[in-house]
Amino acid sequence: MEKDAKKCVRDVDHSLYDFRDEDNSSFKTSAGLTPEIVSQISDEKHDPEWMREFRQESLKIYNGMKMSDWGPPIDGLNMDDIVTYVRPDTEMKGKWSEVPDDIKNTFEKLGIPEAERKSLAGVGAQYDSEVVYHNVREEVAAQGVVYTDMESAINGEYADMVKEHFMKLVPPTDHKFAALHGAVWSGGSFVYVPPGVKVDIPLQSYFRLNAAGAGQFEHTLIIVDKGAYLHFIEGCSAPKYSVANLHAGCVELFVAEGAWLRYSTIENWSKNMYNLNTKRSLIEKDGTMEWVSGSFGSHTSYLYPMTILKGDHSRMEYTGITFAGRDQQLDTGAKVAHVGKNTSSHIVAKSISKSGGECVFRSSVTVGKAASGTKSAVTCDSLMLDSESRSDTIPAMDIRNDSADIGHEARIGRISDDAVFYLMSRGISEEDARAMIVSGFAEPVAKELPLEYAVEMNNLIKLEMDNG
Amino acid sequence: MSAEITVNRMPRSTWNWLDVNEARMDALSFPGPGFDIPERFKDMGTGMGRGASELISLSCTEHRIVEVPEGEDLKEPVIIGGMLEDGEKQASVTLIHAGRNSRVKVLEFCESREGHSASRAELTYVMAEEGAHVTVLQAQMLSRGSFYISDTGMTAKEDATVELEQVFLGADHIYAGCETLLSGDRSSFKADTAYLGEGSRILDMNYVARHGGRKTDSRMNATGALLGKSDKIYRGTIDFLKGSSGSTGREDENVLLLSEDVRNRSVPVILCAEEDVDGQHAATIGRIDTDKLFYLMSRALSEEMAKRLVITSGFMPVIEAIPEVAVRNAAVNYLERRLTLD
Repeated sequence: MEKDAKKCVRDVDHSLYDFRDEDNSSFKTSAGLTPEIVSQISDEKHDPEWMREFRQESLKIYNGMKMSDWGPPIDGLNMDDIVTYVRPDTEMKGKWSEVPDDIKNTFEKLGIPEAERKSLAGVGAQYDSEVVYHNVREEVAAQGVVYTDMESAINGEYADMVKEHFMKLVPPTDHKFAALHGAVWSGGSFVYVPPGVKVDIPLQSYFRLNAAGAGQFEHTLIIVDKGAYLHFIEGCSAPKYSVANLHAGCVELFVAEGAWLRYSTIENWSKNMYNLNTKRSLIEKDGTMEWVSGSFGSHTSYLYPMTILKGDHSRMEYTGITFAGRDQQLDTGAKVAHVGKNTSSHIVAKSISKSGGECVFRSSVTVGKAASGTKSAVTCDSLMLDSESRSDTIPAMDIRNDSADIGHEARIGRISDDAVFYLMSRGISEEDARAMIVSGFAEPVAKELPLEYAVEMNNLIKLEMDNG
Repeated sequence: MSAEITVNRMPRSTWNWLDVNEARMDALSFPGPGFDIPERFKDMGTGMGRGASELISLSCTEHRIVEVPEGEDLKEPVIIGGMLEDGEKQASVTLIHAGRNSRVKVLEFCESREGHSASRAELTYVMAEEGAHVTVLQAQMLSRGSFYISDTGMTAKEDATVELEQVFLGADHIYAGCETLLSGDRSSFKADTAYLGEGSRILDMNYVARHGGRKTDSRMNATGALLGKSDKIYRGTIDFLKGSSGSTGREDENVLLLSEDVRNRSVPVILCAEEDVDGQHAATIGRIDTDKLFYLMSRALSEEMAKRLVITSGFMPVIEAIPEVAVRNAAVNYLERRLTLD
């Protein structure tokens, strides 16, 4: 059968991440969600009293809230089947050599220790519900930078700081899966960068979910103090199972006056994963928040990093790409709330749909009454690679200040025949021309990532052209 | 407390907290006997939805069927409307069936004197057969305190063109919607909507272009100026259905924010289930371009006059399309009066 040249961009290759270890967990809760299970998690996590109460209260909120009625279906997710806490058979280690072989090998295959040696200031590695490795370079720690797991943070020197900030940006009342997170969260990282400290090379947390039918609910809390600077990278993956897995993490980022934070994510969950993640940042005066997001995995995603530009002259940028292949419904985008004066936001989103995959870009730009001098620009480009697939853009703007300057542009289409023709007229084959165009389409996101991660992203996309 | 109905529901929802997925509207009552919509129109969707279309049809005070024979080019527009008295409630149903290769323009307008508040609801169905060209123009110049509803459903068969030109200048509450199904290959839809927000006016609009046939084209343009404490939502959806290959759709919205108390919500949506299409939307929301003002003021216009000129220019393409001179002049005068008052 003659192949259609338009259909020769392959799916994202997940095989690199689709290997699994035996389940050697030392403890796991029963499947389902009850006050007793939540209490068990509190026991396992050595929760202080306020956290025990917080979890139980969150569970009540969860039980009282409805499922969302606006996103892709999540009918295949049954909380009665989800195991919310799986403790691996190890304590957290500070050296890879002390991590059990099976878990260490997993992270070796994912390239984490190598990346740490080459280009990271610190690494946290989570396996199922717990962080199994955490380390930060001595010179970075010497600057006063704190990078530790959440359990250590909540019970240690920074307990008060954690309590002051934990789920204040994303309260359990925010939505049903925020409430679920409040009830059963475990793992994740706490980062504090003191005033004026510039962390030149990134920190990275990597989340691996190995257990079938389990949920991962890590909490990431980052506080970048006045005038400080940080790039944080988050990666995640899981082997594919025939049963549903759930990721309902929560990321809360506090960017103080004049501080700068970039939060980069390469998400490659397996195609049985429901990725219902919540990320939010609060930016003070003259602060900057940059999101770089690559969404390639999961069966269903709801992911919309939100930025609250509270301080005057604060700013945000969001650069994201989503690639939905067969059996994937990826609903992604960004939200920004302009609160302070003279704030600015710039959202650039790209999506590629193929082989029946569905991409939805969703955004909101809200400008408050006091947010005079706001500037915002949103650009969304979607590429449809075949007619089995689907691509929707649903942006919304709510503007309540007359001095705002708001622009929005979006485009959905296929690879331009004119562009292919132009490249072919320069001696490039049609296959190469199409590959170049799609690579160029993804390039604005790739160029925002450190080289190693840009390469990983390009590997993920695997935009190989068929000889036809 | 009066009952409410749900109107202007978006074809695909977004976050509920934005409060844009749909609107709740007072279920007005009209004193008419109603009209049973014929089967061939009954299944057509409208922009505001079944709640609104039933509200209007079940108690409409007037109805008419515009039947244009095959090949007929009606040079003179069909004109519907007039001046409403204080407290008057009108609900009008207009069914337009344009035969093959026919051409027709229908103007629906309403106005009321200052201080005379009234309610006017218009339900308009358009069925354009192969090669037909139908233009519906609506001019609304009701006084403050009035309530206005415009609900439209259109279908265009092969090579047919349907156009909707609307200018909304008055009333306190404006609910409007249009759903167009481009079922035939090479059919096209064009909508131009110009609106003025002033006082505490609420404008709630929902426009949907569904591309079913191949090589169809839709253009939706919305231009508005918001003054006072006006609160406006414009939802515009281009929906490329499977099989609509070779189709194009474009939506543009330009909103001038002219008072610190206004609220503007815009939701430009593209839904796409077909690869070989080109869908675009763009929105610009903000103040009057200072370069334009500077240019006009350098030509000896006062700042106020320059602003008025810029605002008026956004409305003129739609107003100038009104085929009846008296209605056109009334619209120009109404707009100038409102802008001078503010």
